[in-house]
Order: sequence, then structure tokens, then C-alpha cells
Amino acid sequence: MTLISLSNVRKSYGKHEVIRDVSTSVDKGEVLCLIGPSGSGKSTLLRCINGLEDYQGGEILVHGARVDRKDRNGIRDIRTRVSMVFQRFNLFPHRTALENVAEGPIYVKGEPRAEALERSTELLARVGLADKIDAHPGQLSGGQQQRVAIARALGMKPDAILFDEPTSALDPELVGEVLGVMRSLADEGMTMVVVTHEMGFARDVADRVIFLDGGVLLEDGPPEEVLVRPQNPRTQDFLRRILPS
Amino acid sequence: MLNFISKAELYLPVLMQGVYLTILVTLGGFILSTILGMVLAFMRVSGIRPLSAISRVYVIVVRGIPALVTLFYIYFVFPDLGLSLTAVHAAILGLGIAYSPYMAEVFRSGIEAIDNGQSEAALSIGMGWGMVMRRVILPQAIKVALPPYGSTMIMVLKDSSLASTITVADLSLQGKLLASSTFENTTIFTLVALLYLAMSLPLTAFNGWLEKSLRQPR
Ligand SMILES: Nc1ncnc2c1ncn2[C@@H]1O[C@H](COP(=O)(O)OP(=O)(O)OP(=O)(O)O)[C@@H](O)[C@H]1O
Ligand SMILES: [Mg+2]
Repeated sequence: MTLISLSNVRKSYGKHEVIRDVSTSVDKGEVLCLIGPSGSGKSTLLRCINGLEDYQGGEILVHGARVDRKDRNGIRDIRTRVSMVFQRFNLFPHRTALENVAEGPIYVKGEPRAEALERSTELLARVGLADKIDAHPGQLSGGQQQRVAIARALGMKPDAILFDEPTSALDPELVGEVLGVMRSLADEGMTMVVVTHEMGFARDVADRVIFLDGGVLLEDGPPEEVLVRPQNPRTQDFLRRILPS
Repeated sequence: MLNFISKAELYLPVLMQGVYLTILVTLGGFILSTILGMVLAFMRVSGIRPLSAISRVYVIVVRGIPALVTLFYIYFVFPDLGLSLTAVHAAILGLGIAYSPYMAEVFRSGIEAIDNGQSEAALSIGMGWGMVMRRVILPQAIKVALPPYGSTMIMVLKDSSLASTITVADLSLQGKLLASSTFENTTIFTLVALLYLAMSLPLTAFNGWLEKSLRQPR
């Protein structure tokens, strides 16, 4: 079943076209990794999916509903179904880990407070932070903060989670704990779109990999094809640079 | 020194009547400029073009006019337009308007100091603009805005003395009248200065306390 579909999506900042005619789709339960050089439009594409950016051409559908920033209720509904995890975590610094996770369930979804707090506590335990529920983000390491952010995304009971380079801002020794949590989510069947430079993760976890270059989608296929036998010379070039040989 | 104290005892009761009006005008000016400033700041960051343009122009225009002239305008020109205000009301309105651009800039810079990622994270869990402001941006912006807000409050207090130019018998006017009838310039103006200082110190202390208590929950 198709959860997210993009057809002929175009996006430009002024005259600068950053997404050029991109079409692809994400099925329920699928893990899609989005790779490509810096400035190729990976973040922009991800942000278009949950309406943090608007797009000028084509169509993005989530559950068959068009992503349209002008439709305020529609876009909020889509955002509660498609959560986002950011490169720089973006936790709310004035709230505890628990409050960060419970914020959406309580104030956006109107879940009863006690229930939301209990569920949030479980989610934090699930990302290995049972002992940190009362800590503020400033008291946590980058890896811990990103795990709180993942718990916050899960708190919305989303149909899919979008990750924008979730480990790029982390010290190398903290990358593993975050990827570990993401792997277990994938194992449990969560639908995920992951922008990443972690090729090991893409190879092991992704069902499909797409390669974006200059806003153009150049490859779309299973990891063993895209990462091991890329067709396009630009992909070969990119992989040669990023993979230690 | 003894001399000063005995004279002070003599003049203080008269000056205290002025203090009452100074506090009244200052408080009124605070409240009005704070409310106007918030509205202007929200208009500015609303992302709605016309609102943000109106706010921007208002700030430029009003900030470019001396508070004294604004006061004169309200007290002397408004009656010609059919709006007569008492001197105290005109002073409060004038001070409130004259300081609203400063308040607006204080609040706006507080809001804009908060990383964009905060509102994006809030939007991405389905919050609307109002909730993003209330639950995420403002609680953080307030900490940034407090110190400049405190200084603006003290400026309002000091500029409340402008009310004396439109016949409000505030502390500065009482001082002036008393001095010109007694020729005790040194004693009286020293007292006036000390009284203003005595009013600004609690403001400073209150602000310091607020800043600290907002920083506590960490
Ligand atoms: N707000 C903006 N205004 C104008 N141009 C922008 C804006 N955001 C991004 N761009 C441009 O759009 C293009 C794509 O940017 P994007 O951030 O999506 O790339 P990316 O693939 O995520 O890169 P990175 O790997 O560095 O994160 C770049 O050329 C960038 O300069
Ligand atoms: Mg990016």
C-alpha cells in the first residue's frame, strides 16, 4: 500500500530550481534511504513531504491527501501522521525529556494527560532513556537528545517518520546508539524515509535507496543495485568519494 | 546634612503628591506600551505581509517622533479632532504610544532570537501558529527579552517626567514649582533625583528576580 507518493515534484527558491521533476513513492512498512551530495535537495524534498516547504509543481500525496501548505487543517493533519526527526534534534530546551515527548500527544492530539505521560515514559524506555525522563535537553548528550527526538516523533503514533541526517551532528561514538534505535524501528515495520550519509545503514536497513543529484532523481532501487551496481556515472562518482575503498 | 534632612521632611509631603502621579503615569505607560508592543511584535512575525508592513511602518514613524511631541500632539491637537483627554490620560496615552515601538522591538528580537528549528519541530508535530507561539517560542523568548524590557521600563519611568509639560503635576513638576517658590534648588532637586532613583531601584530588583526565577527550572 502506497503511503507517500511524489509525482513530478518541482521546487525552486526564486529562479534556482532545487527539485526537478522528482517522482517516487513510499509503501507502508518500507524504509527508503535518500542519498546524494551536499546541496542536492535531500532536506528540501523531505521538508516538502510534511509541508515545512511549499513546492511549485507536481503533487505530493500522503494517504491520498494532497500536501498543501495553504490548507491549514489538512497540513496539520498530515504532520500528525508523518513525524520528523531533525539533524540538530530541535528538542524544546525549556521542557524535560518526558514533556518533550508528551507535548504533541497532550496539546495537539488532546490525549488525557496521565495516559500521554505513561505512554511517553514507555517510549523513552524503549529508546533506552528510562533514567533520563526528567532531564532537560541541555543535560543530555547529542545521542541521547536524538533518541528523545525519535521518541517525540513516535509519540504522535505516526504512520511514517522522516529523518533528516539524524546522525550528522553527532560525535562518531554516539552515532551507533541512534542508528540502533532506527534499526529496531525498521524491524518493527515502521515506515521511514531517511536522509543519510551512513552507507552501512542504507545497505543493511533500507528496502530502497534513491540518489538525488542537483535536484534530479538519478537512481531508485534496492540498495544492492544502487549502492553496489549504480548505473549512473554521477552515482558511481559520489559513492567512490563517500565509501572508503 | 542635618539641615538637609530637616528640610527634606518639610518638602517631602508635597513631592510625594508628585510621586503618586509619576507612578500613575508610568504604570499606565508601561501597560499600554507593553500591550501595543506585543500586538506590533506579533503582527511583525505573523508572516502575513500587510500586518507585518503596518507594524514595520508604525515602528519607524512613531520611533522617529520625540515622545514630547507625541504628548503635545495628543494633548493639544486631539481636542481639535474632537477627542479631549485629561492631562493624565493624555500623558498615559502619549507615553504608551511613544514607547510602543521600543517594546515591539524588544519582543520581536526576543522572538527572533529563538532558533528556527524550534518552530519547525513544533509545526512538525502538528501545532498551529498560535500554539507554536504560546507553548514553544514565547516561553523561551521571554528570557531573552527580559533584560532589554527592564531597561525600557526604566526609560518609561524617567520619561514620565515629560507629562509635566502638559500640566500633569508629577514629581518633576512639583519639584520645579517648589524650587521656584522656595529657592531651595539644591535640596529639592536632590530630593527629586533620589525619589526617581528610589522608584527605579525596585524595578531593577524586580527584573533581576524575574530573570533569575525564569532561569531556575533547569
Ligand atoms: N531557504 C533557502 N533559500 C534559498 N535556497 C535554499 C534554501 N534552502 C536550501 N536552498 C538551496 O537548495 C538547494 C538544496 O538544499 P538542501 O538543503 O535541500 O540540500 P541537501 O541535499 O539537504 O544538502 P546537505 O547534504 O548539505 O544537507 C541548495 O542549493 C541550497 O543552497
Ligand atoms: Mg540537508
